Amino acid sequence: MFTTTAASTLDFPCYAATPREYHHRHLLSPTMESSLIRRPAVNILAGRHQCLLQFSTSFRRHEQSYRRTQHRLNIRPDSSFLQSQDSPKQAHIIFNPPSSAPSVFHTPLKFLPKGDKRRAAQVALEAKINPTPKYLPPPVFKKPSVPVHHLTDADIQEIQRLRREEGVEKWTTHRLARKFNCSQLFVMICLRQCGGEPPDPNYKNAEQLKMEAIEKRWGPRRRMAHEDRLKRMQMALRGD
Amino acid sequence: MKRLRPERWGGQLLTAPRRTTSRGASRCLRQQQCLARSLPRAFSSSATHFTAASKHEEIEYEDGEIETIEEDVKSPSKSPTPAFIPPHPNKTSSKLGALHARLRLPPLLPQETLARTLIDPSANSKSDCNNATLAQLGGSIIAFHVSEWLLVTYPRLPMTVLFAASYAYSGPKTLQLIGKEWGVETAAAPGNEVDPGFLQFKKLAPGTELAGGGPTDRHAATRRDKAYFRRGVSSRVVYDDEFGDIIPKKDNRNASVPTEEAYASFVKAVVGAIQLHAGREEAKAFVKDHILSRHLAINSLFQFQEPVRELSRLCAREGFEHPIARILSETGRLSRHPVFVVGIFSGKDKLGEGSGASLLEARTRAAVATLKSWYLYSPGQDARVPSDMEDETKKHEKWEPVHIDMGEVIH
Repeated sequence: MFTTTAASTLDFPCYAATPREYHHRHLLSPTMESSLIRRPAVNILAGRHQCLLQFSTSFRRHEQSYRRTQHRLNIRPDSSFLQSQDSPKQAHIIFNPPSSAPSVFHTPLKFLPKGDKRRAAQVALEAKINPTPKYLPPPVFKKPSVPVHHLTDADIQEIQRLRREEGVEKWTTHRLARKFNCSQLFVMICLRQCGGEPPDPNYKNAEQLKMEAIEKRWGPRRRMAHEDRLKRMQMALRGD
Repeated sequence: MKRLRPERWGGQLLTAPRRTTSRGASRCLRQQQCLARSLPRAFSSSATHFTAASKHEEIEYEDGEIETIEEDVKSPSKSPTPAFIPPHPNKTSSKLGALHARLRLPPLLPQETLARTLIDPSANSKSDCNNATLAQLGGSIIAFHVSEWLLVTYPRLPMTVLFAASYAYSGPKTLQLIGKEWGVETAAAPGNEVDPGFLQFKKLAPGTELAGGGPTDRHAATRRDKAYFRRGVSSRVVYDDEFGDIIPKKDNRNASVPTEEAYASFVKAVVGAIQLHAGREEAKAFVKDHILSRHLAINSLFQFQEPVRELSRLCAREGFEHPIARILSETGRLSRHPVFVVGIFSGKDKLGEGSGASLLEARTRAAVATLKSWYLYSPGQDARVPSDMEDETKKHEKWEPVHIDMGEVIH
C-alpha cells in the first residue's frame, strides 16, 4: 500500500515517514493532482527521475480500506443458518452444503428397481425434501417443431421415389423433411430402413471433400473456435 | 554366494494337479499336503514328524525330504501323492523375506514359491520353474473376483464400460503399479546369479515396436489398418479375454516381454500361489485388499454418442413417461457467457440435470447425467457376491439373488 512510487510523489525531502503520518498527508491533500499538473515542465524534464513517477497516482485511496471491506463482508446469514421456531432447542448440527451439481451416483427414485430395499425410505425422503411441484419449469423447446405420425405409406413411398428418381442433389434429406413436414431423422429412416435403397458410399466422401475445401479457407481464429467447439461437445458427451 | 537353483523349488505346482485329477482337481495344494500326510507311503522316514508339526514347522520339515521329492519328480507314476520340494536354509534372500513380510503373505506360502512367482517364462522356459502356470491360475482368480464384484455392485453397466472397468482394476498397467508399490524391482538380465528377490524376465530391446495400440472400432480400422478390426461386443464376450481384447494366437512365451507384462504375471502368480498354498478365502481376501480396494472413478468411463435419443429409448423401454428437458435456471442469456441449467423430467419426476453454455449443450449434459445415473445404479458397495456363500461361516445364511438388469439401451 505504501509504495516507493507513492513516496516519491512527495515534494518533501527524503525522510522516512511513518505510515500513519504518510497516510494522513495523503488523505488530506486533495489538491495533489492539480499541484502535479501545475508544476513546471522543466522540473519534470530536469533529470529528476522520481518526477516521472509522479504520474502513477492511480492507487490512491480515498476511504479506509479495512472498515470498508469488512463492512461489505458483513452480510446477513442465510435463513437456513438462523434459529427458527422449528429448530431444536438443544445443540444441533446445521447441514447446509453449498449448492452443487447432483452426483450421478444418486439414483433417482424412478430408476430404482422394483425390488430395491431402499425404495420405501427414499419415497419418504423425496416426499419430505422435494414435494410434488404444482407447476413444472418451462421446457427447453416449446413444442415439437414437426408433427409426428401424420405420414401415410403413400407418403413414405413418395419420399423414396423422389430420392430414387430425381437424385440426391435435388432431394436432400433437409428438403424432403421440409416438403413432408417431418423430421430429418424420419426421412433417413424411410430412405435407409423401410425398403429404401442403401446410401451411396461416394456421396459421403464427396460431402466430406466439400467440407474439407471449405475448412481450408478458414483462418486460424475460426479454425480454433471450431476445434474448441468439437472438443466441448465431446466433453459434454463424456459428462466431464 | 552359492549358486541358486530356483528350478528345484516348487516344481510340484504344475505336476501335482495332473497326478491328482482322478481324485479331484479342485483341491488346493494345502489339501493335497494334508492328504499326503495321511498316506504313510509317501513320507516313510519322517511321517511322524509331519503329522505333529504346526504351521511353522511345516515349512521347516521340508528340509529332510529332498531325496524323496526328487525321486518323485523323476518317476511321477510311482507315487500318487504330490511332491513338496523343500528349501535350502542357506539359499534364501533377504529381499524375498522382506517381500513376504511386507505383503503379510500367509506363513503357509513358502519363500520358494514366492521366488518362483518372480521368474517370468522369458527368463526360464521350464514350466516347473517359471510363473506361467501360477499366473494363469492367479489371473483367472483375479478376473473372477473383479468381474463378480463389478457385476454385483454395478449391475447395469454397459458391456464396454464393464470391460474398461475390469481393465482399470486388473489390467497389466494396474498390476504393474501394484507390483512396483510392493517394492519389487526388476533384474537387469535373468540368470542364476541374480538375487531371487528381483523380478527376472528378458527385457525388450530398446526401440522394439509393441503390438496393439491400433484403432479399435470399425471406422478407424477401415480408414487405417484392417488388421486391428474388432468384432462386435457380443463376440468379444465369447471369444476374447476378460478385457474384451483379442487373445493372441501365437504363443511365444520365451520371447522377451514388456515390463508391464512381466509385473502383471508376477502379481497374478502371487495370487495363484496364495490360492494353492493357503486356500480360496485367503486368495479372495488378498484380491480384495490389493486390487478391489483401489479407487476407480467409474463415472468417467462413459462416452455416449446420442444421449438424448438413448434416454428416450430407455424411458420407452422401461415404461416411463417421455423425457422432456426443462430450464431450471439461467443467467445472461443475451451475454457472451450465458449459463443454462437444464433438468430432464419424466412426468413430474426430475431424473437429472446439467448445465452448459447453450441450451443444447446443457440438455446434452443433462441427458448424459441421467443416463449415467441409470447405468451406475448400485445396490451398495458391500453387496454380497456369489463367492461369499462359499465361506464356511456364511453357508447357513440365506442367499438373496442379486439384481440382474435387462441390459444396456440399444437405440
